[in-house]
Amino acid sequence: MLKLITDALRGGRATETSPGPEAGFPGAAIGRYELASPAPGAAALQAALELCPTRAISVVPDDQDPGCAGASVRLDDGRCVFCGLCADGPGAAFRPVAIEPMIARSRADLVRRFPITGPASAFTSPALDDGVRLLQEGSRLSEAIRRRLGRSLHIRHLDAGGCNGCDWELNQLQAPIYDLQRFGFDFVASPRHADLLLISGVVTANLELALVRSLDAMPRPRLVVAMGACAISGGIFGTSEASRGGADRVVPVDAYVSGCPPRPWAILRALHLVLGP
Amino acid sequence: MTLTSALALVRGLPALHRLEPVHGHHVAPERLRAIVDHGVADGWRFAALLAHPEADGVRLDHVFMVPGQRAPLLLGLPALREAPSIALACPGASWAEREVRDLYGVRFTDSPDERPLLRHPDDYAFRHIEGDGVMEIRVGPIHAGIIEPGHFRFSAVGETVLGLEIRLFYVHRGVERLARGLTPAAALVLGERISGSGSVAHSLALARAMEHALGCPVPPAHALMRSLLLELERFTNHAGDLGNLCAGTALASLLAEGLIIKERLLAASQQLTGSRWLRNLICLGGVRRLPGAAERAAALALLTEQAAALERVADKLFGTASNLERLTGTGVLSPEHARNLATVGVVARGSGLALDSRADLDFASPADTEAYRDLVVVTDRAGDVAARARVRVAEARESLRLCQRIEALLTRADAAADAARGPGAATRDSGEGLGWSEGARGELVTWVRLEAGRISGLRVRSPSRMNWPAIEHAMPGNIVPDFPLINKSFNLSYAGCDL
Amino acid sequence: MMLPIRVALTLAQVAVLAGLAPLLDNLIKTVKARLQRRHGPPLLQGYRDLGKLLIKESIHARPTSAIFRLAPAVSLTTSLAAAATFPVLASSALAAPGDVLTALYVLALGRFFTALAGLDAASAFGGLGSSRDVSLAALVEPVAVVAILVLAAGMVTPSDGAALAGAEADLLAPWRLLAAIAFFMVILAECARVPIDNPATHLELTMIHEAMLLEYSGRELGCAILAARIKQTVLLAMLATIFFPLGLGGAATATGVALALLALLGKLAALAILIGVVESVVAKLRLFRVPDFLGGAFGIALLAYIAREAL
Repeated sequence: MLKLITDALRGGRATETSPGPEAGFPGAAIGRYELASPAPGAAALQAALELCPTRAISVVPDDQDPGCAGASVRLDDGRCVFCGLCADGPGAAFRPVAIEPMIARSRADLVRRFPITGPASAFTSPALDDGVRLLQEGSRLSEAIRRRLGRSLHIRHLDAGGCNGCDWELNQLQAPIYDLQRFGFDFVASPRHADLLLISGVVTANLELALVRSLDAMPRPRLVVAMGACAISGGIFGTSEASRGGADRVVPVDAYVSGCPPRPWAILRALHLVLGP
Repeated sequence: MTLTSALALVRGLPALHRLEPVHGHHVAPERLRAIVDHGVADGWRFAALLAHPEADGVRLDHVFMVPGQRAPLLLGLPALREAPSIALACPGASWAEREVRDLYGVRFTDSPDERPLLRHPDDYAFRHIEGDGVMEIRVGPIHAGIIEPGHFRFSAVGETVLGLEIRLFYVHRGVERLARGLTPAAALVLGERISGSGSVAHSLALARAMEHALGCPVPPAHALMRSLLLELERFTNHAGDLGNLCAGTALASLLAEGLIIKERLLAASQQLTGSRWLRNLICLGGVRRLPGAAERAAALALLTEQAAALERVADKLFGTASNLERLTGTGVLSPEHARNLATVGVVARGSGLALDSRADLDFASPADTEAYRDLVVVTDRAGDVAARARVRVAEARESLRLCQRIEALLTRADAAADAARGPGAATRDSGEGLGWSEGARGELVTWVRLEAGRISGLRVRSPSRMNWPAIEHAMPGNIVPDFPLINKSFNLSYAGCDL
Repeated sequence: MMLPIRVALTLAQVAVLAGLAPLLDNLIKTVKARLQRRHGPPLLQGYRDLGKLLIKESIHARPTSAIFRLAPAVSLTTSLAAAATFPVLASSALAAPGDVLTALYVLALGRFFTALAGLDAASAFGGLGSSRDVSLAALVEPVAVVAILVLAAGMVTPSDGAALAGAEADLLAPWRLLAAIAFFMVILAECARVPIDNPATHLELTMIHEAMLLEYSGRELGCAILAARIKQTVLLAMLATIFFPLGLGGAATATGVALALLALLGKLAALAILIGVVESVVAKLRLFRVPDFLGGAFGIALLAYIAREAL
């Protein structure tokens, strides 16, 4: 019993300071991918288009993307599961960058465009069905309310059908390394006590109702964040008879944090973003 | 008692060559039950029910683990729409039969449980226990903590539990259906995301199954690297599970120590592979990229350091009287239940069953055989929460030793040459294969069928699938507030079970 | 002349105890966090959380009745009332003319309503929490009463708070220490602390106190949380002033009150640290061991009584 105290005191605090926006993320983790060169080889790009298991990469002509010469490659970080197949081996069209993952208030902001020369018709690109998107619910919150929530934010996590990778990363947020509580944030046991619903996982048919009911049980003002590729777009599981796809097909979402799963620092960053001005 | 062994009985049947070198026999449907009854008496353990739809029905193969046999045994039924249920003789097969009924429409005659498994109709008939003062406590599917979804129904008198019924499959994402049409590379991306904390176990079993199907060799250094990842994953899981037990007993300072160790291990994993969950490395024929000696040495140094920290946590876990009191005698799973339900992994070994596919089954690669040559299978007869914790501590210790041994073998093997050569190449583009791995939670069996380089059939039998029903049997006689602790001691994956 | 001072002192002490309540709870969290090798919430987090709850709406599950809505107000009122029953800022007869045993039963009224509200929401956990809490209450009550009667032995009005606090003799007598230990164990049970309950848990099946609050939201939740925090502070202050009336000035002078306040703060902080340490190094008891724990507390209280009578 005494050992528990002495070890804790001798060990010192294990909490690490959150890295600043410019500092990148600790460790050499892949934060996102980018086009390896502005003029990728047509074969390499076509290979990447075919390899991507979540159809995160597409090529669109310039008439859909004004301001691009010829065509542009679109990389959707909301779909990317960071498998790296598009960046494998020499001559690959994409390369990984150790930088913070994409965090955005709107789904469209998760898509990055890389202008390329040459016509889009040279490539076979997947047809994307992005479906209906519900209006953001928290976007109407006043600055004052956001500030108040920013100093006391109670989070309800809901796994709507993921692989449990996101769940385990959220557990780590409570670890002394991240120490979620020091920001005035905490996880709570009941949706009635919560200000923010954090959704991970693709919404399965068996959990759709539970998700809607959980949000209904939350008192306003409230916010919703979708974490991980599954909750953003369906990720690797997509839309099928067993799953509805991204969470914003079922409930309004105020912020997205990409990753598969997103790392704890990225989740912290997203929480701060959604409460910001 | 049986005069002839069940094995002798099946040897008289026509041989099934489909999954050579895994042996099998064709069995007529009407003879299946008699053979299985015989086999169960001889200690056969149900391992998986394979299913593949064909023109005139669904082809079913029952996979059994036979004591003393170094490979699984297949009992193949012809394609049919109605098959005899073996769930009465093998209760562990009940969920598998219900799943195959839901997915492929096969009817099972004389099945003890006709309810759907994957679908959740409003009129689902839960079991009821009636009597004076019996009340029903319904929990979930959404829980208060950061836990996966699942529904639990307790029948209790006061705080004492008489019965528990678990309904899962809330996170059923239709993995087997989604896999159809995928290339091996894409299938592995999916396989790694079946259960996050078992990314390596799932992708390794799938890779081995595909290599079996496509006749794809694995260079020694590549095989060793994959085993290193598997042991690292086991260590990380066990360390996290031991810390998480303290969330169940509310011993906050030790829970924090466990979380720190886990975080350090995740960071080490990220440095080694680029992924905190050891993803994106395993591929068909080996690993996509063989981490260099310096990277491996750094990861191993971190692992050794955290292993020492874990020993200190284990000391305190068992050395704090108030904590040990909570673990001891709680959630006892008897060896009989563990055997009858065909449990695997830590759960089985914590109830005294010495089964571990790393020791019991043959490896495809001689490098793996060498790595695991002197594996110690840890067991504990008590079957309670403390026993499962003790098994985890000893297994983590063994994983550290294995990692060091594998690293030594990797240094000795001509790793540089293997790395330059890259993963092995497939020798054909179609076939069927069976693969297994012993993940942190236990034995995982994956069957795959490929046609023209694309997956046309997949079956995954995770350790959690076999072990979930065991919790229903470990719970009666315990009190309601001890359930989270018991559940944590099993630490099963919902996603891995629900697929 | 006397009455206004009495009223002012009483109001001041209620305000002090209520105002300190969120801070004191936060201090326990900070101690625990340090023993978990992290920072924990900012010291003023308790106030921020309550302030935030003010702007949240209150949602009611359909089956709830007026009792559910009333319960948080009742428990807040009872906690505040209990804060006025024993002297905190001065031990003279001027201060807080209350009855300590009455305070325990006033708090019991708040608990009764919280338990009713737990049942009212008709969720499985509310019912579980209520039944556990009420059986706990039955076990706690005799321990608390005996521990206080030890102090009151030989007094004319056995449970008059001011009289108890005025009895400064034998500050370190064994009977006083034993009675204090018994009362500390009572506080752990009453305030949902480890090893009886776990205020930090998210495991709904293991909860006692929080299970009854799971259905509350917004202001009502804030009210219920504040009531629990004040109750905790009141009980700790009771332990600090009645069991150890050190530093309580006799007269209600400005210096006397200031010194008493300082002493109170010091003692409360020490108790919060003690609770934080206990919660960090002891596992929660199996629910069926709780009677053993409180039985032990009762034994200690009895021992204290015998020790006092024998000496």
